[in-house]
Amino acid sequence: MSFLEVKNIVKSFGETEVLKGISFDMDAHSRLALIGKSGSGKTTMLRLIAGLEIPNSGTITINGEELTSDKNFIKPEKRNMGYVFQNHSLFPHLDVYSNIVFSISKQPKKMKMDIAMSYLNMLGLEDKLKSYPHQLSGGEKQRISIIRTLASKPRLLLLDEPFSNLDKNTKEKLKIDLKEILDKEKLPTIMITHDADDSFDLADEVILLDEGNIVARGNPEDLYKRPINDHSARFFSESDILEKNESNEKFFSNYGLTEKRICIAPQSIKIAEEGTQAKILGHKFVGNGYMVKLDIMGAELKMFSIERITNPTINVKILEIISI
Amino acid sequence: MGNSFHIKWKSSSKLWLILSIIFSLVLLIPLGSIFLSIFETVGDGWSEIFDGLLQTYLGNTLILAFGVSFCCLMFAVLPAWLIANYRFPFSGSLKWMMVLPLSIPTYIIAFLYGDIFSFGGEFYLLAEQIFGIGIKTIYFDIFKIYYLIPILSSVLYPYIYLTCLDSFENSNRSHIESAELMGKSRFTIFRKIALPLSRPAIVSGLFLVNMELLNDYGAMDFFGIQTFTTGIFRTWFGLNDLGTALRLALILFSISFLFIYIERIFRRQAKYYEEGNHAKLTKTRIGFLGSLIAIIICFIPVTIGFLFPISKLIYNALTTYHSVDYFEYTVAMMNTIFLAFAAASVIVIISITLIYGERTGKFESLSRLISLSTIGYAIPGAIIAVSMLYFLSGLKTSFGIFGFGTLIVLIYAYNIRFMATAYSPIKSATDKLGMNSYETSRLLGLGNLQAIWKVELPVLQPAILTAMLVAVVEILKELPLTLILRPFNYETLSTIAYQYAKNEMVKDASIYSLSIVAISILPIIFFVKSKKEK
Repeated sequence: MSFLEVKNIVKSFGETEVLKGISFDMDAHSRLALIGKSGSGKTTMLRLIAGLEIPNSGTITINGEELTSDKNFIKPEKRNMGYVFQNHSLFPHLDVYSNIVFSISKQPKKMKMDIAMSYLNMLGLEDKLKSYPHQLSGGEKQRISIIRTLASKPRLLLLDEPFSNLDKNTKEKLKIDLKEILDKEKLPTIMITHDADDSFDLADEVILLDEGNIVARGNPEDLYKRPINDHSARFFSESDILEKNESNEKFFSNYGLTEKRICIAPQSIKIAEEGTQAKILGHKFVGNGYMVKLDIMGAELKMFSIERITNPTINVKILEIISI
Repeated sequence: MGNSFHIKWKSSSKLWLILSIIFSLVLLIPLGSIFLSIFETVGDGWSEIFDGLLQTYLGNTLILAFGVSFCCLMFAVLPAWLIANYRFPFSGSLKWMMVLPLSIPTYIIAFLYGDIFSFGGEFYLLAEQIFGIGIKTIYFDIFKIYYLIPILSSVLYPYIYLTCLDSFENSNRSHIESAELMGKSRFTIFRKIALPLSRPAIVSGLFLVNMELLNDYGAMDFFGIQTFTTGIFRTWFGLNDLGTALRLALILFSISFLFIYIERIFRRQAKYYEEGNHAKLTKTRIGFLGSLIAIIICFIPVTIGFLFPISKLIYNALTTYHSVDYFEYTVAMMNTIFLAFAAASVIVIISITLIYGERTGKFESLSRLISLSTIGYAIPGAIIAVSMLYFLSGLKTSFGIFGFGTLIVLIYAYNIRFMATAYSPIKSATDKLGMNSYETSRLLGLGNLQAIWKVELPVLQPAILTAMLVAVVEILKELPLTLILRPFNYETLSTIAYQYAKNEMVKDASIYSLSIVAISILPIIFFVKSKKEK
């Protein structure tokens, strides 16, 4: 039996159907990322699991306990879920300590302080104990929000785009901290994000949502390297999808391809002394190198190169071609 | 399942849900009962009214509505544009001084100007003393509908001024700046861009002006202008004909709904008109002559609506303070404060209940019911009073409960009339707060009540205080409802001021009127201060 089971969830807001019969399951201790564009239904899915929304139909169970179904509905406060919102949602009138121990207010004072300090020490925020939310930076607020959620000892942690309001450096630091905490706590986690990079760093499984449907599921690395469909190819990597037509027919026959649609990742194309000739069409600087646009026998493809290529033509080798 | 009553019921907070449904119905039933009055038998009063007075009521209501609307536009729109766009001496002070006339109730301004321009009033005395002009040469009868129009407009225009100022300063900034970059003068921009774009804001201000106008009883009665409100009073108190009073109330109710309908249409348009940048416009400095004209244009409404009447009130109070019955004054003050605070507290508590019923419940139809239950702000007090009486007499027939002439009934009626004054600021604060804090505390294991008590109420405190203050002041100024529904011999500041004025003792009413204005000015100061802090 899976830890979390979501079966045939349908959810509409007015006339708009946001989730169209979603089903998935998840094991205890696993970290799942729900990813997709804005409006794909990922936040709604998370809110349904937390009990903040009611589905039109479908069931949600944890360890066999029915949380939401046609007959049953367990209120959010009885579900024991940890939820971290994208805008931290710290209580503005309470200091950091009171925010952290909010859910464990009935515990003895010493225990509450120990719990708060253990987390604060772990993240180097011990000096913020008496600060109020308005005195904290964006990254600090989000860390405290995560600590507050963990202090309640939830059975499932739900992270709703926890990095979306942070700058690049703060985001990278927070990711490292979060990974450390999740590794230590061994807490089943569902994270939603619209950034594929977040799932590479934190998730061991990914579900890709598009317009209320699950369009891909798998290990993030596999989905990056071997996209199983258009959606995963576009979302996870800069892979090019080639559809056979008159202009690239020569390319398909040269590589002996019988499929009509193929996908080639930029990392799969390498410069080689003996290989197929490719014309350089342009360069795009991508920070750690260049994305070079090539014309190989009428097929327009991208290749990653650390240095800028000055020759008008080069010879390349294609290491992997994935059929879709 | 999303549509299943069972699951929605299970996921909602029952306490808020049940209480908000009960309160909404309690607020709506008396108003709804007025529609049943169509089946009531009417007395002789109805045929008298139907044969002649109905046209007079309708005619006067239309003249006042058009006249006051036009006059308020004159007083409000141009000053709002000048203050929003130009920098001139006193422009900063005038910005908030323009709002001050709101603190003077319509009946008090009517008493004051009626007194000044009545035969033997200060206007004629001064004309004789300074210019040697005899009273008979320049005398005119002030108690005419056409003179009442500018008098009422001088205290009602701030409703339009505030909505226009917001529209000129904030909402339509990007459009105004685009036109400016195209080389258009500010005057052309005012005519061709700002005015058309501010139409929804102007209509929303006009709506409030006309609602206040329809609600007025004291000024109409003092000036002897026959309108639906005075008609309701006359048929009820004079002819003891409740059936006719109810029928008049029903007609007035229909007129109010027409205004509400028009306002809703324009408010829907506002969504398309008021998008874009919300930063403030850069103000242009103007020269000496321009500044002088701008100062005069802005000072005219402030002088007529506040500076002059307040000076006159203070002068009257200083000359009559020795003849004031201080026992009567103290009792009236205590009655007023008790009534205002008791009713405002109930209004605030019910507002919070309605808001949380809507906020935590999962039923969409409940939101519509709650929104409808706050409609009393657009219903004239006389209608609410008549419908209350009708409803109470129905209760007496069915259950033997009456309660007419008790404070409970008066507080009940205030709740119907002023629910929106507390509901709106608290609702806007909860909307701004969003659901995250509430949902987080629920997910951290707190029950519904605990989440609200521990997390939301501490944050909502300023909004609740504002709501309380606005409700207190509205109740304090209220006249028609209080006059009809108060317990026998229960006097408040407004009822005594009205009675003195009615008995042609306007000067003796001054200390009471001044007290009302002094308290009414508090939320305006509060409002200006919070705007400045923002």
